[in-house]
Amino acid sequence: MVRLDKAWIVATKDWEEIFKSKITLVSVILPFVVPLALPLFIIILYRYFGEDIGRFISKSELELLADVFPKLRDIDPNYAIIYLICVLVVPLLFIVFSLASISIVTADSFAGEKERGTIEALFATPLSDLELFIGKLLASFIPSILLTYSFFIITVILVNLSTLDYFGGFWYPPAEVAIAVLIIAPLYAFLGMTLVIWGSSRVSTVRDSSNYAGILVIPVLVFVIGVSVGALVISISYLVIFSVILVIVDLLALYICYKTFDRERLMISV
Amino acid sequence: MGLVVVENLVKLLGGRLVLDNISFVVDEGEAFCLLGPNGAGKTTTVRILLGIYRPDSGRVMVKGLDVHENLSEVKRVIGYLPETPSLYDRLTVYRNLEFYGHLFDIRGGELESRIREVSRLLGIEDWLNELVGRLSKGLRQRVAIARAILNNPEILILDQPTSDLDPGMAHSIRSTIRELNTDGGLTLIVCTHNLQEAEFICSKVAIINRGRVVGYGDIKELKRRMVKIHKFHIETLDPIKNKVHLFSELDYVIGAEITSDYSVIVSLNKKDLISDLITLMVSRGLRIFEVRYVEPSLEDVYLDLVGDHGEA
Repeated sequence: MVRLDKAWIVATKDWEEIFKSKITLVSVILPFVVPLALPLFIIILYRYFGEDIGRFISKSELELLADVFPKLRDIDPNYAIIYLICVLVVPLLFIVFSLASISIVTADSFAGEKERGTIEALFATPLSDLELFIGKLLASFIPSILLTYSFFIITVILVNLSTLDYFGGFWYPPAEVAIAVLIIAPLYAFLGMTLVIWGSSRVSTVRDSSNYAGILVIPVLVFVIGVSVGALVISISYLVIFSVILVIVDLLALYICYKTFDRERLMISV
Repeated sequence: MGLVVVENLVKLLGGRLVLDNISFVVDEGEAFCLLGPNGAGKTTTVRILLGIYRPDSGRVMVKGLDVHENLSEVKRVIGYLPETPSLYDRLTVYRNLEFYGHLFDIRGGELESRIREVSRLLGIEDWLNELVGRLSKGLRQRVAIARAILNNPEILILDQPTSDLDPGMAHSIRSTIRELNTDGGLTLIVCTHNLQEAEFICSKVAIINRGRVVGYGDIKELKRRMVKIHKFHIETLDPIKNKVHLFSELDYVIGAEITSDYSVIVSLNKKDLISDLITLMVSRGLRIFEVRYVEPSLEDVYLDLVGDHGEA
């Protein structure tokens, strides 16, 4: 029988360890400052340099982008850059930085325990493989999701307050952005986490194992390019379908990860 | 039946035969040593005993229970000090002990009093609120031992308990470990390549080399049984320095080491031939003051069985 209280004991110990390391803490939190600061920086530039900034996008380019973001047709073209940054760039940054953040925590939690040599004593306790595995998942996933949600809420509040006069009310986030940050970012980060766990049993250092999630940045870049050239359309239905696919992929990855979670292999690769 | 019974263990790691039919028994209250050079298979044996590795064949029984079929029950009666650091540097000593206590289902007041008890026993009560990362190696090892006995185990397994420690600290840790056995009644299994440590702490030994048990039994008995060379310290009343040729003439004298003008250590291949040698020495005008049998050391046994590079 799986004892979830044991898994929780492992998770809380990991959080204490992670958050007592200033380097780890900074590496985990700092990336989220970027999606928070970027739209505010652009808005401040607007305030200082006026609407000239809005003219960096030509009418023909706006027409092209309006095919992907139909709402661009309803807003003042001068504020198109603010809109695009908030709707396209910010959610992508949240996805990428949730992935980066979870990779650091997961690597510290799994490979770190190996690297520091503490895993052997842990294996000698009456903790089952599944309890240890769940504990480590909680230790990695919960901080990442909390940070993503917290920084997104702050971003939403600040973006809305600072653009009240531009867009005439609380407009952020549109449903697509909410789905991307609140559903897709955690699901994508979860996939990254499973890759790092899988990698941790094959390498012996935190640095090596955290690299395993790096591969997931490639699809994000492909997506950005696809949207930029008008090859991909962002719609709620597509995002929902993508989320469902991600759930299935995550579950499959989790299953494979647990099935390959092997004490002996972990010890041998120390 | 022994408290720990290891039967015909075979283990391959990465295609290499690491354990080749290892068997031994550890009785209750015994201080048992797994002695051997680095890479002999000691740690692998212990990891199988703890259920971390699965044997390819053979089995390990603890208190009559097969380890791999009763992992959780078996782990509750074992305390383990691995060779690698087993503590979290970023947490305090107290938090480290508390964490392990929780994993063994020790909670609340019981855990609090157990932490105080093991801290007193290991002399670490003044460092409970200190971060482990700030402790000296010796103190850290004391904390690690406190952690290993926190669950009040019946068997304590220690893998290289004094490696990396200075001689003074190593002696202090060895004394503490021995007291856990002699005063606390804990059954000990100590993995080491340190002969001094093995002899100081343990009464029984399994000497392992290249995955095989090459010597096994009570240390005193083993020394008697295994030693093929018998050394005698002979003191004379007449100068012996110029009579060294006397020993080289005799085929049963394997070696003679003049230690002073009036003393020599002779090595014989048969213990009872000492009387022949003494008779001969007296007949050649050497008056004997004292003849003493030099007890063989575990080192003699070890070198005889394992060789000086672990290659016998």
